[in-house]
Amino acid sequence: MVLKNFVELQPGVPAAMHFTDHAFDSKEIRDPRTGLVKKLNTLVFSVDRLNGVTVGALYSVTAEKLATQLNPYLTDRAYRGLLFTITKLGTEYLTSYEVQVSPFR
Amino acid sequence: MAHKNAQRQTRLTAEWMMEQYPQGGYTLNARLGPALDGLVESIGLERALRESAPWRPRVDALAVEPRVVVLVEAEIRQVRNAVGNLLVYRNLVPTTPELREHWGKPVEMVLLSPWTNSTIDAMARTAGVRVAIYNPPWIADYVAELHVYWTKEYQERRARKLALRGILGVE
Repeated sequence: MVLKNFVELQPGVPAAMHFTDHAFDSKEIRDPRTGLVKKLNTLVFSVDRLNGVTVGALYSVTAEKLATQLNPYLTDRAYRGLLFTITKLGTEYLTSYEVQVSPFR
Repeated sequence: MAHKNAQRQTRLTAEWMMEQYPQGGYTLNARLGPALDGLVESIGLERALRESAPWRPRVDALAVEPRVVVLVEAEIRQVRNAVGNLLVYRNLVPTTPELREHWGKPVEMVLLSPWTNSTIDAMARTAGVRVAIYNPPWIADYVAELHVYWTKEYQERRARKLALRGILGVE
């Protein structure tokens, strides 16, 4: 779903996204478990298509594993020719991501 | 260490798949096997697959080609283990609902690793697994270190390094 122009993944629900640009960012968040503030490095994508619908949104990747899965496509912005269908699997410490890579038409 | 190793395997898989399939047509960390017992009957297939997601086995990568389903399992340290995993995953393909229209296709199993040896090659060959070697520069040093880890010289060097860290009070 898109909330305030940010794509937020729901567990088990695939989101098909086309990325047009990316940047690295860092932000401070409050850890919900400990209440402590920590710095989080994020990989942020501009999204122009979400599940077949034209949008103007950002998708922020905070999970290291997902960032690793997407990292090879950052070179020369190779992601522009591809569609990424990302499914969040599990929650909290058990979270992982299934990433389907398809041609973008 | 295990976490870092998993990250290396994730990166190895993602890079290799991108090289092999630059136009896409594959899935990273793909779920295999059926939904949990009894769920489909009670909540339907789509929801059952969603609810079962954390418990279903996952292969590092899966590509569906016109004539074959390709399973890719990356392994850097315990390379032999990947051969056994691939055999299990192959048997799960005909039970994976998302692959229903490809159940009749042969399954190609690929062991992706930055290194191999004659024992692993023989095991893979016997099991019908193809070994793909991918050793990019970012992992070469790590692999080289992996192979000297159990040598006396490396153990002594490591012990000196740990002692020095203790003296200096650094982690």
